[in-house]
Amino acid sequence: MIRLGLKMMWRDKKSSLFYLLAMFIGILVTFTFTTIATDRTVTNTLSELISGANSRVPMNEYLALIVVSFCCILVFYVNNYFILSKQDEIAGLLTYGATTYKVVIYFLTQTAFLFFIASIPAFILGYVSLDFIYQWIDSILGTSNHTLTFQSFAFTIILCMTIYMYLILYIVLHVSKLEVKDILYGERKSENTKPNKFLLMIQGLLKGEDEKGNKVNRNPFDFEMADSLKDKNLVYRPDQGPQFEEFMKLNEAEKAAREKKPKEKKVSLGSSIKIYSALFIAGVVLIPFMKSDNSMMLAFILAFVGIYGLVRRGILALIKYLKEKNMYTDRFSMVYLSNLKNTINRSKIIMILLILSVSVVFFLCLKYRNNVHEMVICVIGYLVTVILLSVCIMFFELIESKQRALVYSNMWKVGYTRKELVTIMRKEMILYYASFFVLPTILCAALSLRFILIDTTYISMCIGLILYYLAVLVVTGCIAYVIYRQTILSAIVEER
Amino acid sequence: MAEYVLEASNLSRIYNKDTENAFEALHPTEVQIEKGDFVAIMGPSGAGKTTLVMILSLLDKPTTGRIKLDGRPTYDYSEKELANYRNESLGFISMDLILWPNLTIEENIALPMTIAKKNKAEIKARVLEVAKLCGIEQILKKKPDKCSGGQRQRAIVCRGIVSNPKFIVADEPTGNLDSKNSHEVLGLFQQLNQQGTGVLLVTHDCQVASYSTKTIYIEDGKISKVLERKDRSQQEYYEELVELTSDNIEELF
Repeated sequence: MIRLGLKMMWRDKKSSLFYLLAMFIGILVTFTFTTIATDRTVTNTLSELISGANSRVPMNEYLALIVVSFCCILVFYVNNYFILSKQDEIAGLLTYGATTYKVVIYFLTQTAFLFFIASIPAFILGYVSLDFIYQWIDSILGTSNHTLTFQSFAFTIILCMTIYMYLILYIVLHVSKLEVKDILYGERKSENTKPNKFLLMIQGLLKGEDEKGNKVNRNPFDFEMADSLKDKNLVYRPDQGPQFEEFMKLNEAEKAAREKKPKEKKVSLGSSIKIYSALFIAGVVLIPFMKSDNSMMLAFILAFVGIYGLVRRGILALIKYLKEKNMYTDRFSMVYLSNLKNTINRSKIIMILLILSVSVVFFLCLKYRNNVHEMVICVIGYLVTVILLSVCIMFFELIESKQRALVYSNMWKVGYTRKELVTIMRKEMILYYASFFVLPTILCAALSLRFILIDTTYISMCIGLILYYLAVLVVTGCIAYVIYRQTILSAIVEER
Repeated sequence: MAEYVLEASNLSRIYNKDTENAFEALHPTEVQIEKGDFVAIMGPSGAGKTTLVMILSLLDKPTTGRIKLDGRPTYDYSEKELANYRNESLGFISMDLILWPNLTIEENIALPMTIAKKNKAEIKARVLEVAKLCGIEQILKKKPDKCSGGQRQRAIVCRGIVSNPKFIVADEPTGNLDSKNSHEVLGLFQQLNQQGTGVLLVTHDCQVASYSTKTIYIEDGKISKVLERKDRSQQEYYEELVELTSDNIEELF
């Protein structure tokens, strides 16, 4: 199994290379940041400087922790992508007599080998780049005599081992939960879906029963609609009733006018979305005008609650709204909006994480602009955070593309041309990345305005940070689009 | 007393059990397969054929019922023993179980033997033997994407029979093949069956089912009819199978 694992790792160069690259970035960034965070010279100098500014925040350590966490998230995402791209291999192995243990060994061999291969250049490059980083830090902090401690090596290795343990656990759980029939026939995914108790309760109550099916005397939802729903004898008869009688009294012209009048289906965004939008707008409007940091924090929380609601429900409701508006009129929008809805629905957590981390680190960059030492740390944190989370989003999109190959291949079979499919993919990708850009940018713009109102020289820094965010999203988006396109088109070629 | 390779009693399968979408794909069913049987499972789409085959191939668990392999209930088997059974005694052939695109046809066919850690020379010899049997020895060094659909399908058949199983389970094995190639593949199954290998074939094609010795007809998750070939010629058996399926068509009109 070990030999087969290594052989398949070598043959499936594309997936392996992605995994290798993610591990390389993860180990490199973790090693670099933990080295700087554990460097006594830097820590002491920063503590003195920050203590002088009446603050005791060990910025470099916190930042290292945040960045390392994002590295872990990146590796987890890439691992998911790696495993998902090998579903057919798992099905083949299990069907032809491999035990779960053997399948786990098959994957762990690949993971361990890639981890090992990635760690050597990552440590070497990290070690080399630390020289340059220290030179740069020295020029800012005025420090010297940095010694590379064993602590950072040990911490990085321990962290890698922890991640590796997680990967083992993930692979074991994934493989043991996997059903060959689901991979082969791709259906009945909701096999173990537990019944929605709340839904059952509501249904039961409408029928005058509790969730266990017992009769209840009083229906708490006993309003008019519930009565009509539970009464099976109530049948709509178009040729009876007051409306029919009223209709019969009309003259021919009025009857014709009524009959021709199409019934327009009302499409609305829903009240909760309006509330979340209002919270978000209120927060965004209040942020620039709050005098103290504490009151600004309250406005930020308000805006964030709004964003949280919008990400969880608002964007999805908006897509649904657009989809219903364009239903049957645009042969593209129905597809890319449906795909987009699915992708956003699954990437809610990473979107919320990205909005929160980007806006908080953006705020810290502006807050410490006048203190070069802290600002440098915050800016590095911002740059790395944006890159790591954007790469996570990219891998997330790639995982989705793997699962879409069949849908696109079926669309091609029913008459969509390759050019049209590419247009659909492009539009989907643009909208997906736009959703990642718009919400944090609005929040960052509000935060920027707060500082610009005090000092207009903040403008260039704000624009620079936002443009950087945009540039990283554009680059990762383009890479994701190219791979997405290639995956789908190659699936169609295989069908041919 | 008949010697059963596989004996299933009271098998049922309910998808999404305990949910509002619960669906009984297979109602309590009895299936017995004797050593050297050639059984075809027929039925319309959604009748529960694949569900039954997945359970009989030990790739899915039934909601109720038990399966006995060589007279021993499957719950007595450890995971390793079941995996060994799948590897050595059961040859699963399904077009949904695609060939690995990064391996050559030879390596793909060798997969069950690689899992069983057989030695290289033995694997090579056996792969060549089954490839010759299916007429694909000339494409062994090619990758699947460089082969035609028919060649790939034969390679999948080779992969299913390479470990010399006691029992072959084939889910629509002639789905993408033309009539000549279908005839050859079915002839191969017949040949293996005559050598003592049991065959369980899922199909909706009467012509394919006419190669079997017994046909189980499934409808709405229940076995509705069982037809045995006995002493009939393949032609007579085929006509009876056509009649069997046409009964159901008549019900439509």
